Amino acid sequence: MIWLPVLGLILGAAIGLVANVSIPVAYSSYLSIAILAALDTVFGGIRATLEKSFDSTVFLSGFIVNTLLAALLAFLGEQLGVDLYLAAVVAFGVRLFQNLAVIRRIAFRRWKERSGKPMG
Amino acid sequence: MTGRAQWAVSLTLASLVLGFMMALQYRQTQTGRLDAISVHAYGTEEKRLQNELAALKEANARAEQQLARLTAQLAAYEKEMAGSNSQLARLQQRLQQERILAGLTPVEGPGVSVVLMDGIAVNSDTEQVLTHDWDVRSVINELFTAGAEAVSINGYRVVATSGIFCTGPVVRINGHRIGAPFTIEAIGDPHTLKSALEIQGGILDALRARGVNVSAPTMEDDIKMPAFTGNATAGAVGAD
Repeated sequence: MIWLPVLGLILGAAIGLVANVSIPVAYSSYLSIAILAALDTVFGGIRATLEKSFDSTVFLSGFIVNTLLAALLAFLGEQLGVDLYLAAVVAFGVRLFQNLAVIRRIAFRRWKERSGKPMG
Repeated sequence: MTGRAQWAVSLTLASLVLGFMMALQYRQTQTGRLDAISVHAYGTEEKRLQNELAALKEANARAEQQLARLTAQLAAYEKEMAGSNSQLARLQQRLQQERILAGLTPVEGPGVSVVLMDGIAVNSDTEQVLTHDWDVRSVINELFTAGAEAVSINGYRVVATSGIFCTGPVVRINGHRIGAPFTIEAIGDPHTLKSALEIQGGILDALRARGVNVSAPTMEDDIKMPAFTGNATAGAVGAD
């Protein structure tokens, strides 16, 4: 069950590599921001799963809305001449690392609990 | 265990999309890198053209030298031919003078030189402080009016058919593109030429008032000027 998302990631990458789809260079920056948002949401989802507070509605809506909003923010920034995508990069980057830190802590705790049980 | 299945499906779906986007972006950066490589290849092509241009320039310089040598030889032969015949010798002298005025022979003699340089724009009025074609032309006209026998700009001889006009950031003279600073040299009576340039409210004053960087005209004892090289009949339209 836990391998399913990993399999999905690999499958998606394979489709992306094989499919002859290419986006215009001008939209490349939006895509990178969208990727960051998606990455953040996926890690958030993993964290929520580990904390047993996962809600698929929140997760899927967050995934779609965050991705689109990030791209929109980058677009808006370009129109206004303000590097708003930097804000998105920083915000998502910080959250990404926070999520990773929480995941790491939970993983450590579980590992400790598991290895600690036999001893007493 | 529907809750469990739910998170797995959602995460898988999201991962699928994420993987797809990442692959797209990866391919994009990869092609970008390829583009950079082809740009590099284009750079070698540029280098090749530059080498070609340098070779052509060298050949051109050699040909010009040869032309100068042949012209000198021709003059010598003519002088020899005139020999003792005084009438022919007089004609010969006239021809020589006409040639000097036409700019067909390299000349040397006393004269003046002045340097026109683009000024530095103080209040973004760049147009004012640039040296334009008509500025160069005005100075040359002034020199010819004052009795200059031969004039050159940055070593290019100015003749009756010489065209001096702006093409973008440079000035074209006899089809040669030259940029500022413009060193204008004139052979003639140095005192007359110098005072003609320095006259109050004259051309140099006008240029200085506009902000163009004009050097003080200096009297030279010996100015050497090359012959006019170019198409004599089409100098003004700039034979490339």
